[in-house]
Amino acid sequence: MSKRLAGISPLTMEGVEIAVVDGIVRFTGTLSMRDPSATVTPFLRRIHAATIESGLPRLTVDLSKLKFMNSSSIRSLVDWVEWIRKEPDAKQYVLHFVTKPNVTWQETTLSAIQSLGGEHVVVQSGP
Amino acid sequence: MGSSGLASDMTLFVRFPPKWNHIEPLRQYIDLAARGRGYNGTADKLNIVAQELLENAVKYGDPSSEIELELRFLESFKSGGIEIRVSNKAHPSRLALLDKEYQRTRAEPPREAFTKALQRTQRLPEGATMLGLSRIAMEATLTLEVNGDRVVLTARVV
Repeated sequence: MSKRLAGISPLTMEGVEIAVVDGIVRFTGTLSMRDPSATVTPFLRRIHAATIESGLPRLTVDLSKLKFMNSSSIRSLVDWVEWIRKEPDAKQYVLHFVTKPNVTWQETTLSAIQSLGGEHVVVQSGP
Repeated sequence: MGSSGLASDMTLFVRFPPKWNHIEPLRQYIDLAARGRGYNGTADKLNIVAQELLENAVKYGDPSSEIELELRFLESFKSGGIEIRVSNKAHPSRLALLDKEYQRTRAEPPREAFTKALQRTQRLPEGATMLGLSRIAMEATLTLEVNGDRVVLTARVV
């Protein structure tokens, strides 16, 4: 496990917690803030930087306990995929999203993000 | 929050000022109302639709004008479902943009429209998305009307 990733303190605010636990980024609660670009996006940027510095080929992002996400927050995930794509090939990694089975919005949202991210995004339903 | 009441056994009407902190309790209220009437299977879709409609009205509507929300349980309709209608006074400058986004959601199948909206998002300034309508269109049948200076967005979730 990456020490850099493990050293990132959880982000907890407005009904959501994003934490790195055992090398997995876990979203819990409801993500519906007005301007996630001021909080969530910089937090994800730190995770991205730590992943790059650690040289990890793959990072798991568990959304199975995320009840809801508004479109402003989807932008944060889209940005994340774009950061990866802009890295040199040797530093790029795969975002492995884990979703909750039968939750329609997770399936539709992540499949659209996957179509943007190509080989950099993998979506898995269930653990 | 503004006034609310049960207009009939199938329609819920709420009028409220365009404040961000009203969105979450309203969404929860809608969720509870739907589940209370046995619409558990459509609750996830309804949550998405309600949130995006309310956010749209609060973010882009006239800040001095109240928002009207109407929730109808279409139990007398053969196809059933829930209709959610949000009406607000819009800035004239926003109407053309709203209509453009709306037409984009109608131009192709919902998933394709949403994926293209995601692609456009990457070219917008940080924090901007313009994803709301295409996201609603994936979960519901969406219509846009302009009545005078008021914009009415109606989504039907089945």
